[in-house]
Amino acid sequence: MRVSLWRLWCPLVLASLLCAAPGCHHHDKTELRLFAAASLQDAMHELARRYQAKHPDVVLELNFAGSNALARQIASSRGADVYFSADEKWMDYLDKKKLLVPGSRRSLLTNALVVVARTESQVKIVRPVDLATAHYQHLVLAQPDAVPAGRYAKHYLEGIRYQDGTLWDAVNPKLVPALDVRAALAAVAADPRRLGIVYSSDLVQSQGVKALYRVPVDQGPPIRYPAAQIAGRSHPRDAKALLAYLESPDAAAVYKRWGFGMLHPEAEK
Amino acid sequence: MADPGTTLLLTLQIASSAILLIAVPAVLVAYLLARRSFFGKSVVETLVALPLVLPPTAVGYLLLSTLAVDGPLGAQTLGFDLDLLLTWKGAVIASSVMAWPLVVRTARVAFEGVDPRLESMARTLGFGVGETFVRITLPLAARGLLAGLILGFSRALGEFGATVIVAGNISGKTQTLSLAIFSAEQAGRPGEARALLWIAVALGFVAVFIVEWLSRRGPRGKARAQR
Repeated sequence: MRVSLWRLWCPLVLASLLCAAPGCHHHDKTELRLFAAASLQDAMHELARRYQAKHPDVVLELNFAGSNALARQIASSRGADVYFSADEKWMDYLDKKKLLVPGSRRSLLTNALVVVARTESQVKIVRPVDLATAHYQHLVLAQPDAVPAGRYAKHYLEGIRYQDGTLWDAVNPKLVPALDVRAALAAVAADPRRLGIVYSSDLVQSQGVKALYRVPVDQGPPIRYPAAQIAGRSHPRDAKALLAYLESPDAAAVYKRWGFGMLHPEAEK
Repeated sequence: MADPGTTLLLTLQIASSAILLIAVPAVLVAYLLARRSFFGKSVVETLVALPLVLPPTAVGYLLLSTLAVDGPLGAQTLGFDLDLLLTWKGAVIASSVMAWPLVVRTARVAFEGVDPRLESMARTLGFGVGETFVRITLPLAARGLLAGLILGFSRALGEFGATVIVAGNISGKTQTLSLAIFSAEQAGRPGEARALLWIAVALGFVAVFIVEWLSRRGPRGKARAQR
């Protein structure tokens, strides 16, 4: 069967036209890539808007995921200008690979853990050990061996004695890992039989989810959100300016509104 | 995370269960599509092909919405819990849906390769419909059917998008080989990721080898070289 050449060329031409379209580049503006932990997305969207309003020559591209995924992406591609992690471990990971601009790293924020469930859940958690005895189907955490929110939660549960082992051993059979802390939150919101452990800041924007138990800051693991500039990028001065903005008192007001704690109260002045 | 051996065993179990689940229905649907015309045939053909052309995550999301607590097959609607989400059974369902089009299409081609006159001849000799199918059609289409099942099995082995959404990534229970590689990479454990990768490559080689070996043998099991 002979196929006319026209039928052969048409789809190929269409395909190449499609390939030319995506990823339009702002040739006259500076593009900065900000990789930030999933829990920071609301605060970062607001800060990005404010920053771009003040600096019209800069375009910010935001990438949110678990801090572990972002660190891996930066390590293999160096595709970010500024990295804002939810824990020190993943910043250390990049530091050891010498991917950070020396002296640019600083710890900015803190957070707290909270046990959550769907609003209509009848489960009561008065003390942490209630997690071992309460009636629920699954405990959703961000991947506990990699994502900061999950690691903090695991660390917290491992520190509480329960029967012959720890609370972590007791809840392990019900564990469901999620890709990042917002995915964990979404999983909890989807089914009333699930509990989850997320950040208290995640509750600020959440719908249909309530806090069952707030882990007191002095009993929970120390949560630190460091930010740093990535080395070897084409716009180091702009990246430095962005990092300075993320540390500014203006930014502090935004973080506080989204439920984060400040590590350096002097910044508020 | 579970050790590679457990992950491999779980992966094989889930993929095998998926293929066993769809084998009979897929063969029957394929025969129907190969031999019969009926009203709505193109709709059936489209539905069969849909998981092949949809992104796996779309299929996963569709299954999730259907099986969710307040979904059409959820605990609230049915009155009892199918208990498929976040379980190995859910992983089987997700894998079987993704493998379905491959098995049906390959089986259909196999049936279309069987001369319908042979079936008519059997009928004139007094064979019933079922007997004809089992004693004439199936043996002649057997190699193609087997290739289709192995193809579907390989697809089920590598399933990621739909599985992770429906069954989650629970180590030892629903974390198949592809999910384990992803998690190991995400957690910054390249050694583990590489070990799992080699297991996946080995599995792939075995699957392809068997399919090639099946296609080299001539009809009625005689090797082509003997003819």
